[in-house]
Amino acid sequence: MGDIQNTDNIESNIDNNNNNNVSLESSSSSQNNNTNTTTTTTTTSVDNLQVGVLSISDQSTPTIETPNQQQQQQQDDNNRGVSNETIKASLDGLKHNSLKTTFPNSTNHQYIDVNTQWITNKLKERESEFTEKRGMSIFLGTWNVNGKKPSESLDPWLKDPSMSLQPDIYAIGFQELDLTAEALLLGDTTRSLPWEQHILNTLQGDYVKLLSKQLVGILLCVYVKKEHKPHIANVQSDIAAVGIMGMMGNKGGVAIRFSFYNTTICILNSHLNAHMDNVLRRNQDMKDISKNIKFINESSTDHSTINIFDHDQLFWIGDLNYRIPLPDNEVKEKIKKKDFYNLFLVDQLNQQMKAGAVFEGFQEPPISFAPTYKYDAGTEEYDSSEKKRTPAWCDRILWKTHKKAENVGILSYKRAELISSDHRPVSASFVIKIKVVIPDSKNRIYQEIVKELDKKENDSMPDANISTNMVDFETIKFMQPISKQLIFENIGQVIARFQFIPKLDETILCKPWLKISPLAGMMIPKEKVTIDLTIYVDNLTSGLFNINNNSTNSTNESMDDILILHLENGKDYFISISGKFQKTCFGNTLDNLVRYPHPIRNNLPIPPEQKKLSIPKELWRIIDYIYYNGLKEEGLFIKSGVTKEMELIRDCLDTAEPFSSISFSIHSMAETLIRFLESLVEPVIPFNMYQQALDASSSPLSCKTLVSHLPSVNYNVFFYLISFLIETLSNQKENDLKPDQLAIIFSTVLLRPSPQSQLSQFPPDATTVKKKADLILHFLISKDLIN
Amino acid sequence: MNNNNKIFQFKLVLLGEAAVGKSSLVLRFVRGHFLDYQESTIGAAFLAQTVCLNDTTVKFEIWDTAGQERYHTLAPMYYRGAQAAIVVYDIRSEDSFERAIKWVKELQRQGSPNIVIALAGNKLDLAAKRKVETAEAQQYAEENGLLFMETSAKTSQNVNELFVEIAKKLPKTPTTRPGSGRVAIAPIDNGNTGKKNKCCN
Repeated sequence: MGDIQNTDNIESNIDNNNNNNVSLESSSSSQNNNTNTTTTTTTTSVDNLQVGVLSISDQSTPTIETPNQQQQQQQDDNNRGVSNETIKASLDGLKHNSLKTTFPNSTNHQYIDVNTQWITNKLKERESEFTEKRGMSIFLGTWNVNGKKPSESLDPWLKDPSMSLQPDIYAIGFQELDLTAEALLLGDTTRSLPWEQHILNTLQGDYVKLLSKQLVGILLCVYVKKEHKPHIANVQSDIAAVGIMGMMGNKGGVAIRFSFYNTTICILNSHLNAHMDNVLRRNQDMKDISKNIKFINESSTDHSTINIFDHDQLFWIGDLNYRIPLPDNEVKEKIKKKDFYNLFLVDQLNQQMKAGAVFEGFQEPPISFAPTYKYDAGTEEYDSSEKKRTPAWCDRILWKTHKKAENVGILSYKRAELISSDHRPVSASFVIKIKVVIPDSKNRIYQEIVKELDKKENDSMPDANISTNMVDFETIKFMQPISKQLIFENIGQVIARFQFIPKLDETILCKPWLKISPLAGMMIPKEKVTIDLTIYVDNLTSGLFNINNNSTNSTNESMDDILILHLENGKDYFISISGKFQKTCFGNTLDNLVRYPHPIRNNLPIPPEQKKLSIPKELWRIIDYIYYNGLKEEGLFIKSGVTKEMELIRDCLDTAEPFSSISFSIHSMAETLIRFLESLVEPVIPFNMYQQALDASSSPLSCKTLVSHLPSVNYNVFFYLISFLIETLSNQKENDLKPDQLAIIFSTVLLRPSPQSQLSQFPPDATTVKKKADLILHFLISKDLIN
Repeated sequence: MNNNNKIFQFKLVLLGEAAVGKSSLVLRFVRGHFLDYQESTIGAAFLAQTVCLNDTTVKFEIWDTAGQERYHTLAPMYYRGAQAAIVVYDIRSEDSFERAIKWVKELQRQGSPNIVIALAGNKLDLAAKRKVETAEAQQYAEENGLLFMETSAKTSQNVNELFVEIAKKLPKTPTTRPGSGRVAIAPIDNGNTGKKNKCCN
């Protein structure tokens, strides 16, 4: 994982894993194991020791930190950094204090990030529409300094008289900058300071340092012209060690990447393994470094990483250590004759690249200078020691251009005659096409993309059509269900899931007298669903409409509701329900019925002086009719009535029409009696006396006491009804009725538990049924109980 | 990419008397078109639209509500959790302006704290039949800290501007969460009862 300079929403943390191959995933998992240590494991980073570090703020505006700020920063780091891990890191000796990054908990990631990601990707695809290409120059230098300290002017190397303009970017790499054990084992990087100061002095005041990064003796420093600094973003670095045991930093690579205007650039400085015979090892080094260096993909929200090849321009410099496999004297002979062509033909790097074994897709400018290794330090003589190492082009500069980017223009590729090291420094200058954003065009295209996204999002919302928003049930009668259908059709492009939802702060979807089916469902495009709405008023809900009072004087009571039919991820549909309930003596209360002298549908106001009736007139009419017309009827109360006839009878009761105006069987009237009693909102024996009644049922005397405590209207009704039933039983010979039959039939309607009560269970258990029947039976067989 | 890359999402609700042009304003803003005979909204329509400001991007999730008075009691379902509201009236109707004032008061009383309210006098294309003076509405808006604009969904005059002004006025705090004012499908209990999912922003 790479170091990151842009710390916006990214927590920095030291990675204490000495394996530089550590992947993002393992990094974050180690983070999870140490959740409490994230703020205490920061140690001094290489970068904080540098002078004039260019850091990128979260607005992507680079700022130069003053030395004071850096000291403060370092102080902060030290304060935070005293931890076991720090000490362990030092002792361990394999640490290079690479600042690793961790990410916020993935649960912080929101839907919006995905949108932003999509927009960013689209914008990238259309980059050419809002950028123009501008030629800029980059200077790359590499020098294996063999542990030497700066002693001679760098002008011959870094100042290129052939370039009419100063380079826009300088990338300078060193190898063997520090050969001490401290550097290798303790990560000491102080040796780089004089070199960096020397470079800054050479470049004078026109440049600012972007970043420098060091791995033991391998140092890479990137400088840019001051004018470019506001256009640089996402500066990151990473290291990869491939030295002793494949992990020590004596060999390896250091990379720095950044966005330069809208072009991404990656520069990698490496020191590959030495010796003539180690060609395959060097090839492998190159691949390992390529693979192990990773950066955070800052344009993504999903923690993905990019590698060195995911850049518009990639430059690879360094002591690659490839040799010329010819006898020493032959090489020196050819050098004298400046026959570089024939030497280059056998150059190991050239051979390996031609064979496709390493640096695939890379290019190198033509070499027109003598091998840069190995000299007797401080002289212009090639190696005169016993080892007599054959001269070689160890120090190279290569580049690779991303498929979509334009190729570079080569300005120069040469060596400089600095003699303090056993290598000569090498430099190359290129012109690269930099993509520069045209702000107006970018804004226009950004808006186009956002609009396109909005359009797609709106178009992909579910849409449906409902056949009507107003459902009028007109007249609704007691216990007569009425259904109406709605047709709901998916007229959108996507699957529509729907559901009726309650109103704000409510838990029920609709009024209790309304049933909706289905309550939820799904439609594929063009599919239709029929939604059934059924209104059914029974004695549980009729009380809402039936009670006469003086404030309303309409024959019928309004029934209204608004349903909310919700489409998932889409709109809501309101459906207004309306109807008029036709008042009836059914589903009413005894109290209301005895107070109201008029036919129930008449709805005249109650006269002020009106006395209560002793029993409901409707009950009197029913019983009176049966008394005169049906007492001797066989199967009275046993045989069923006819529904249609019972509805007609009910209408007569509610309107005071005479029964003579309709025709019906006596059984319909008998059942009407039972239904009337059953429909009472509260039964003749009120809910609050239900349990007492059950308890009293074993003793006739207790039953008598119980009944004497009934409210007066209820008592009247009970008395009247029992008297009538006794009269009925006196015709037993004709109607063949038994007291226990009648007791069972009437006890169920006279004695009911409250529907809200726990006693309410269906079907009732046999004991309860018997108790209820017993209660009535006492009155039917002991005539003196109600006198 | 140093601009536009932060998207802030806000819930916006349109309120106002029936037939003042709420849906027309939304459709002009979102789809860029206008229908002479826009069906009346019986329910609440949902659309998304993004406004690009210089430094930020504001995404509105817009709830267009039914204006008919019989649905008044359902309005809180839609303005609850809204960070912005456009209260619309018809410049040809005093009544609709009075109704708008009532909506503003209801929002100030029961809406989200710090809700950004815009007052929009719509049907500016019919200014010849104007009954509500600009100055009167302007003054009311100023006194109550509302954004104010006279708009025409038909000619598109001031429609984008209205949304842009709201977008500018909304606070772009890091805590602004991309929420959804939508009601999620909730499991059904039984019979006629269901659970209502709370809006999450």
